[in-house]
Amino acid sequence: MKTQPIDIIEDTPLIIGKKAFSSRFLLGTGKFKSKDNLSDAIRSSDAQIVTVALRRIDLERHEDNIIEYIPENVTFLTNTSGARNADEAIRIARLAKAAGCGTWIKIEVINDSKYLLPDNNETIKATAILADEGFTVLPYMYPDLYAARELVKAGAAAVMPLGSCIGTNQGLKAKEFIQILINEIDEVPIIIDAGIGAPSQAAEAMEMGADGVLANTAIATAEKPALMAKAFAQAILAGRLAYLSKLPPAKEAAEASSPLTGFLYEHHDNVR
Amino acid sequence: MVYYEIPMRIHVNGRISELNSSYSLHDFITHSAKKNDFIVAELNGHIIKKPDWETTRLNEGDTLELVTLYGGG
Repeated sequence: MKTQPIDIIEDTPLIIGKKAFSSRFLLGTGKFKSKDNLSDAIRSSDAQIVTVALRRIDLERHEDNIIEYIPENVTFLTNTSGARNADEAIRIARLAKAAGCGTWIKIEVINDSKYLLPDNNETIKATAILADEGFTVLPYMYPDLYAARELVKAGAAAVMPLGSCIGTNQGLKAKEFIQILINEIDEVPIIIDAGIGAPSQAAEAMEMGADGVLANTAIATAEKPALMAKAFAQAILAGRLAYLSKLPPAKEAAEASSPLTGFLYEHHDNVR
Repeated sequence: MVYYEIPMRIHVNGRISELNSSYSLHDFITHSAKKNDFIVAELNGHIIKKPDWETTRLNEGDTLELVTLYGGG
């Protein structure tokens, strides 16, 4: 019997602001050992959004600009790394726009140096002002439902809760609270940012119903970054397909997958 | 170009730079960076747009921030 090929991937694009993306993987560009590593990782990730940071120029070292290593047609999402309050985040966002890297901003306001946790209150303030100025604002936040609602009200184009602390590779430590955001915030995509240290963790986030995953450290610090980027891309897609296929719930008691009503017992009966 | 006997001092990215001639912002950035794409200049707290770099002159005591894109998560 001939069968027709089935197009199993019936997904809608990820829509953030006014743009639509087929990839749900956002890749960070920090910590790569070389710019060629970065370039290869972006290509093998198929990421359509990459994060970049703004820093002072080193006047003594005439370095290559990172932009030269990022493929065309990729959307830049500039982070406000280094900002300790809303005003500093706003200043960085305006500088990023003037630098010519567009108006997509990942607000990252951190004033805790040990855990690098985001300050939700300052993030909400910065989101309101920058969204009003026409920026597409993707705030990085601690997964708190009230804060997420305020961010949506303030004009955020997505909400990006942390999975666990930045750079720890600890995965979804905040899983239960992220699930609440996924369940309750319908207006904008939920993108899991920070702490995702393995493709399995990225897949888990997508199975939960996250709309996307942003990862950096796990890829950049892998021995083979391009290979790890591909692994993440496939895990994110796998998790997404599992979510779309509607995962059955976990059960307490075992339930056989093969029929047990069987010939074995009948056979014994016959022997007798 | 005007040359100064006493160098002019400006603060650039948190450090003092001594200039012995009068620079436009454009000349200073071209001299300081490999390429001037994706560079933003903030002079005394105000962003100077690229088309205005040629006509903006650096003066004694100015504070200049020159930033560009780097890798980040």
